[in-house]
Amino acid sequence: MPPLKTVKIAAILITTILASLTATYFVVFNKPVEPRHVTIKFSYQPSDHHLPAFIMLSKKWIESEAARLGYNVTVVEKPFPSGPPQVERFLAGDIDVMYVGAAPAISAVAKYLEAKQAGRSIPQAIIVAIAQYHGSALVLKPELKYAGPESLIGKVIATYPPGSIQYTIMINWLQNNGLKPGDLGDPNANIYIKPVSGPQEQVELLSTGKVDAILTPSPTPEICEIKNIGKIAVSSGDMVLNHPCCVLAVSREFYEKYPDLAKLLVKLHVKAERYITENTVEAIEIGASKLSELWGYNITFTRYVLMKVFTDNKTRIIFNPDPSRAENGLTMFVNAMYNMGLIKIKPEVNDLINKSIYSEIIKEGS
Amino acid sequence: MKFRYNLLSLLSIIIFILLWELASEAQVLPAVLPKPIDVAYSIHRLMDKIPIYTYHSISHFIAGFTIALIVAIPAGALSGWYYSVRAFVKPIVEIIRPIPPIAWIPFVLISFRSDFEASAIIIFIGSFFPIFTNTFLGFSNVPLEYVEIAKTLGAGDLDILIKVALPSSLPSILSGIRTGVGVGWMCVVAAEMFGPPGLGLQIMNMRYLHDISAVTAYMLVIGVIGFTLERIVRIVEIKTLKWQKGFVRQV
Amino acid sequence: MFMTELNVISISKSFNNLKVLNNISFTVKPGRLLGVLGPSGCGKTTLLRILSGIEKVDTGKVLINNEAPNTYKHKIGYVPQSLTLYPWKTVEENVLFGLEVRGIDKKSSRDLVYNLLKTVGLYEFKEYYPHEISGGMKARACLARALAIDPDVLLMDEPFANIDAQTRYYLQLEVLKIHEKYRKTTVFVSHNVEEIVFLADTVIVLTRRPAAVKREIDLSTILPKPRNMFNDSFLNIRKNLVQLIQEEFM
Repeated sequence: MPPLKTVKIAAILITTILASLTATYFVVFNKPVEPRHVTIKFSYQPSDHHLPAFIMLSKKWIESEAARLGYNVTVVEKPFPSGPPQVERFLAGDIDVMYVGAAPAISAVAKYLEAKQAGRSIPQAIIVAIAQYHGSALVLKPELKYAGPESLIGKVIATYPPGSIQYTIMINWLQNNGLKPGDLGDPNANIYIKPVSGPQEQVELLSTGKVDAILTPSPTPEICEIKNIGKIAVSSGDMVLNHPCCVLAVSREFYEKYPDLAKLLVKLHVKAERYITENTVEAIEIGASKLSELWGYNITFTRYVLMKVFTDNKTRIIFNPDPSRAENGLTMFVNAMYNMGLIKIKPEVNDLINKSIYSEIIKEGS
Repeated sequence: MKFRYNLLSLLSIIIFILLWELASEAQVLPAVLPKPIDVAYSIHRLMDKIPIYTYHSISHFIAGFTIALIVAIPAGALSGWYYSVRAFVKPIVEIIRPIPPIAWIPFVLISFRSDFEASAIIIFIGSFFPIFTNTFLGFSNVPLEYVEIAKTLGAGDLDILIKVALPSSLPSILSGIRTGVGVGWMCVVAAEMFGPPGLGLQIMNMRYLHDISAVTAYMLVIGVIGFTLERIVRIVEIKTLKWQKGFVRQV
Repeated sequence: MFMTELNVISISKSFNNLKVLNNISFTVKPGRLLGVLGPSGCGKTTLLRILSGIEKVDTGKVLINNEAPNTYKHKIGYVPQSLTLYPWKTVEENVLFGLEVRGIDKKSSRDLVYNLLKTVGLYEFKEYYPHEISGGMKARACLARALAIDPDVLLMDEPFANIDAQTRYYLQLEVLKIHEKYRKTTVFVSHNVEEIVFLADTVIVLTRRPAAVKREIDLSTILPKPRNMFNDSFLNIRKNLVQLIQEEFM
């Protein structure tokens, strides 16, 4: 038996070492996690195409789910009247997440590739999911009778600006039918396309009779019919079969900085789309509330409009998030836009979409 | 002397283009500044469309500017000459003048049937105020001696207004017209924002396609035309006002 | 030729309680030249502005051939001190202006104007602009303009005040020559005593402000024209007048 003094010293030494090791362990490896502050600049348009966005925003899914991942998220909402102005701000770095038309998203990627070729870097858009297909319609003045595309000769049609889905589809469809669309000053055109920045302008032009028709996304066609400003003549789904319309896209910067949040957004998007199918009435309520705020209408009216959208579905909206299903449609858009001179480089499908995030989410099941 | 002036001007433009090229290479402003060569290429690419858009923009401009001349010169003249007219007209003009032409777009869109009329009115609003104000100044500053001499020679009020006040005010009126041309032409973008065809509309369209080189190209075209218009007025001014003292000015 | 008599009867004028003219009376007989002398600022210009119709009298009256002045009936030729000509008109057009506003067309008046320009020696400069001619030439142009309308009365307000001595001498000779030729009833205001003695048939000397007629002298009887500036009677009269004016400063 060693002397008592030695035993005491040894005991104190061992205890101290063990205590330090434990403390070190906790300090280094098991720190209580501080929530990271993140601001997400989230953009969309006042259309029911972006209903998934409205659902996740109104139910604050992003904030609550992100908290579980250790983030303190502030969502800054940025509404835009149409795609091209939205992409303009995206390219300036002012937007992280977009619900936007496929065509503007394509033009954003084309712009990124163009800049890369010239040796400079600008924000890159990555499509991570699809919001819906079809969903726009050509609405004619009530007194006009629609008798096929030829009956539009000599007419003035207002649509979203060049670079938007509506513009691309309009020109593409007219050209495929042997017609010559052009802007108001073009001496070679037999149909005149007037670009306006958003749906409210379109409604005003149609109601005052300053244009003969508008090509516009839902719910504007339904609003026009209810208010007797116009009649739906053709849906975009009939103009271009199976065309993807709106997509969910994030910036590469956002994806690289917060890959888990990007994945979360896709997951919530899928959840929101399921919510639309399974809880349609509540989804309509959320959409009505948001759209009445954005359009300045009273909520009873907007609710009625959305009910018409879902029951009649004259614009043939189909909600489906799977990005691989849209590959052909996107390629078709790329070619059409390139031929129209709207983009100068043709992005490949891999430049446009990231399918892996969606596949991961589906595999993890729900 | 004139040779040296032109040489310096040319040098200045060359230096400007070089600095522009450097700035766009260095990416001082993020990805926004297009290179001069890109802009030159855009101009070349758009060369066949530029004349027709110029034609449309100039038509809008001529329509709006002509109305401005017809309204502003008499209004300015009478306001400058008669106290009662001035008291009536001036407060309204002073309140409306600060409103920028762009702000009138909603009004104009509701009130005018055709796009052409609407855009001409926007240009009218831009050109009106310089012409009015300068005409007003001309007429309110007619030297008293001119009027008195005319009276002693037996001239009636109408004669004095037309044969004395008007020629005396002509330098101011022409100066106002020159400024009015400049401002009115600048409004062409505002006037075409909502759809009428022309150079201004193309700037909007190219913007939505994020084609900054094309936007810059159209900006340059607008600038050159504006410069030319003002030069034309300046030449008219000089020819008409050859009686002015000290006319050692360079065109 | 018909010549006008000008009567000024007890006129007074004030500006904002500052009395400028005090009970002035005089007569200019037909065809005569009246010289008006007085210290600077005494109101000589105001007097002429009243006679020309630009200002109104407070009290008293002006009579032209025993009638009240009437813009339709009476024509007043006025040469202002500022020698104002319209800068956008040539010399010829300026002289024509009075006829133009009376509705007389250019063609008929052309000869008249050319003769006048020749008389004042500006014929070669008729297409020049006012900014291209000298002060002396401007004075002549103003005189021609005033004469072009064939005035009943000619008023000249210190027209040569800003002109150099040599030119002034020639211009004074011009005035004399023109007065001989056209015999216009004239009122000539000046602060230059020599000039007045040289030109005037009658002289009135005004007091300091408020101006009244200090003295009226008939030179036509004392000094026959043409007058020699250097002879004794001339110099004597000049001395007297200078003294009269200087008294006003005591």
